[in-house]
Amino acid sequence: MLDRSEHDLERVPKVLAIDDCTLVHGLLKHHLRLEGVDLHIASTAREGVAMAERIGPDVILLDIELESGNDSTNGFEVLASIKESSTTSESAVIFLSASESTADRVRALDLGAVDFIKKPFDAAELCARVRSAVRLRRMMRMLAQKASLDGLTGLWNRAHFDRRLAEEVSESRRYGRPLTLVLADIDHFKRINDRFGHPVGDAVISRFASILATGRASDIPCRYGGEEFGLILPGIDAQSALEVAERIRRRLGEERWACREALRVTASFGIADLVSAERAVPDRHGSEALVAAADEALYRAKAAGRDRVYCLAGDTPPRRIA
Amino acid sequence: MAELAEIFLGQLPVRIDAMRHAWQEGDLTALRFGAHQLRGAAGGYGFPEVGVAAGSLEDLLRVVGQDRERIESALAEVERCWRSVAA
Repeated sequence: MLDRSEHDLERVPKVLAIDDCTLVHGLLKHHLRLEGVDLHIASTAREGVAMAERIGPDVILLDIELESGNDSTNGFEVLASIKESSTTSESAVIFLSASESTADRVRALDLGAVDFIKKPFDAAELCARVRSAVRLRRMMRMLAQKASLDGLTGLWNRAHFDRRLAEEVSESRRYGRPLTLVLADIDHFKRINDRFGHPVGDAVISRFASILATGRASDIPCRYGGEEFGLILPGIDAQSALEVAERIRRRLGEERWACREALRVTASFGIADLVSAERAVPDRHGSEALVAAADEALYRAKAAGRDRVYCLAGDTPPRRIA
Repeated sequence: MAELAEIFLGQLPVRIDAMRHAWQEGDLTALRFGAHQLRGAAGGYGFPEVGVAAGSLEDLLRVVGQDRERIESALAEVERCWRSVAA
């Protein structure tokens, strides 16, 4: 499975302290114990870099003058390797140092540290700076997530759809597990907009999105564009996807629209699984074949009278659309 | 704070002994490392005077070929500060 922890904004923040002095360890443990953070401690540069790679900390407290035995790697070098790794490059690094030198502070900030705490440090200031760095990380994660969400519906957007579908195609091939795509389109959406106005059209899209989003945690519901939606179903075969889509179709039909008794909303669905899609659309591969095949099935559902689910079976080649 | 002071005072004798030992062995790197650590942490435990004395010692040791008597007296100052806070 792909890692989705980056989307979990509410998790307990992980803080890693890398400092060679056990006296400092004691102080940090004592002061940060009420901050609701998960504190990890490393004594050497090597241990710190390895631990950071393993746990992916939100905040790293890093000593500049790390000295231990014959390992003379200092904090600046540790910062450089942290910034090079994709697991840790987003961690907020706070330098912790007794250094009086302005040059050291400037260098630390220029290398990508977010803050600098002078030793000996004050407990209240330490905690406040850690809280500030945790907030910064949370905002960065939120921004990253926002860039992948559709504003109206809160579903994943088209950019995220394209990225995730490609990733899921690779996963499906690597682990030999099924992957199915459902494309859905609200029927006669333009008529709804024309007759009831755009606010009602938006409400219809939002309601449909919320029905689409009630599946398993591993389903990936996206707004593909306008009134069109994509539901990526990892680990699900076409037969089960058919049941999923049919359930969504029925629920949409049963919706009651407050103040708009005349309103009745239906949608059409096209389904294809990766294996059948690549067989049916031989000139395309992977996600492109999957989208083309599901789109073809959706077209057939529309042509057959809408408000229905069509599935592309592997042995029936799709009709070419002009 | 009392809890913190206890941790610090519990660790201090071993650290001061190690520094004295390093000095007797002529291991200036170990002595400087010990002074450096005290400088960074003593203030945080509520013993700034120990940190200041250790800081002076560390600064002296940054100079190569430092006068032995000045080192001896700076180390003695760290020990004096420790005795006064431990008392």
